[in-house]
Amino acid sequence: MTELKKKIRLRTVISAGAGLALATVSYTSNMQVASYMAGDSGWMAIVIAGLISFLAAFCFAELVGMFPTAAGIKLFIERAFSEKAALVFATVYMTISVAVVGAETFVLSSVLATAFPVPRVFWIFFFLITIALINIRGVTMAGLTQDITTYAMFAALIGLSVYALVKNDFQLTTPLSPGSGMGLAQAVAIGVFLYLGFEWVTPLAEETTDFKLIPSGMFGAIILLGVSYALFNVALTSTVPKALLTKSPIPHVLFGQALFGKAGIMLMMVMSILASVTTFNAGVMTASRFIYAMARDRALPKVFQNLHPTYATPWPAIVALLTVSTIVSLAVHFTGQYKVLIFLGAAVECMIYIVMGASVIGLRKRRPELKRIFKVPFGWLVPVFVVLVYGLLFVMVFVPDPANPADAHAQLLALISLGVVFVLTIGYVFWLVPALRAKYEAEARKRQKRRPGRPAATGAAPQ
Amino acid sequence: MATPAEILEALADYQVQCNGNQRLRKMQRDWSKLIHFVAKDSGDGFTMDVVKGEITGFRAGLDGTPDVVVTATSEDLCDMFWGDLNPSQKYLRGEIQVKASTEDVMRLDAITMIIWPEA
Repeated sequence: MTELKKKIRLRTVISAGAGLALATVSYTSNMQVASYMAGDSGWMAIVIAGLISFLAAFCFAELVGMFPTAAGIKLFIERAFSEKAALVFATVYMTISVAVVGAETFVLSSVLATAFPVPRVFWIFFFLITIALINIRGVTMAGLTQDITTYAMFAALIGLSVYALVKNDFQLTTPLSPGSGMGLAQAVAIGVFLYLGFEWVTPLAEETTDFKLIPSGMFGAIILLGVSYALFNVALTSTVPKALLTKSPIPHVLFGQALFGKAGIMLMMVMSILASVTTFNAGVMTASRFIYAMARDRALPKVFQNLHPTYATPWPAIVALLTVSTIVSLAVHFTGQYKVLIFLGAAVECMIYIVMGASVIGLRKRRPELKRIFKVPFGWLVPVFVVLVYGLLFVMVFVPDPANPADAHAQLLALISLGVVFVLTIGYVFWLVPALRAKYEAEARKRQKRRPGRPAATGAAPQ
Repeated sequence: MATPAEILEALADYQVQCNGNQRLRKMQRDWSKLIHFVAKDSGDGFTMDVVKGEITGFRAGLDGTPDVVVTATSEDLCDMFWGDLNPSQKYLRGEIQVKASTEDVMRLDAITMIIWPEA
């Protein structure tokens, strides 16, 4: 294999994974984790979720080692099971990830509305339109800038947490007593959501010929996220009364305010904007390329394969994504049901890890001859464990906790929403996709072959 | 299996089609890359220079340090250069592998998409 001119480094892989996972809604989810745990013990759920994420990362590493492509998750499932299964799970995963953008916009606009006396709706539109323009223009953060921004955010988060703990003289309430087992299980389930994004580094496998960077980067990102979140969780609950935090979608702003007053609010606002921009930009970029690829694969209407005439970006896909995000953001704004999206995000993350564990098992059975650059140790133990544990956590996301009756409504709404997305996706995959393919392939068949002498290769080529 | 001569003939046509398409040239005007194409069945390699969206040259053999490496069967490479194959479909099924940034993968696919949108 020839070396590529541009080489990505481990620090960039870590910053890409950790930066994607650290969003403004992560602070809200952090508090959500704490609300299921007694005293200041929320950190335990975050650490446990991180340790389990390690096992999921092992599964991703084995899969991406076999198929180092940006088509990643869809291709893994397709090879392990079928194309229809791949389309269903990849579409549900992508759809819910885009919906989570709605929660992110809502939380960020709440932060901005606190700092500046402008209605939240204005900030929602302002932010989404800005992201749309940035994406259509094709502006991406260069490697070093991205690294500096991401590591600065984590350094600030860790620094603030340590400062708060020192300021509080490490006066903690039951930091080692998690409370009920059910509360712990649910906190871990929501904690999984905090790591959403570390696996999105798998497309970087295409940008390196040193494959070891990818699993190392995933593990590094999980460690960085785990340490930062755990410290922040303890600092947060030991600084601001829990009763106050649970009622707010912006607990980190209350935390900043408690530490430094108005300056703390501004600091948290800056950190929120940075977190949202990095997450958003990378998220919208990846999701829009997924839509473009689906359109090129004749699984979506052709309009989504259009590219901007100057910037070569898939602008119809970007506009569609941000329209959906705007609708979700406005729905959250008018209903205040941001927790629904946190539960949805946690559930879909558990779902994709279950599917990845099952894909490792499926591919070992169906394609044992495939070269595996990385193989998960201990035979079947890890992938089976991943399937079972994330299966349990998936269920726990939706089980009402008697200690948190206020969340039951959001959990039910999340379950219904997930069911609706699944039903619509299955309809799309089993009816719309075959119809689109039949139509477009009929058009392609009418086209004269250009290659002289020989017929085109069979398979994906038009007949 | 396509011979190196067949692939070079296909590349010559690809160059004419790319360079003659004003819409593509405008879109790719800031895209300058050294691209390697590797036929995994025959082991043949080809190098293509793209300067500001224009294919300025191509040759047999792998020269220089590439920005993009495309690996496929010789038949798929040949069909792709003639515009008889939708590279995205092969890529999504793992039959064509690309080593490049996401941006470059898009740009490469855009060539086929713009010249032969019905392929």
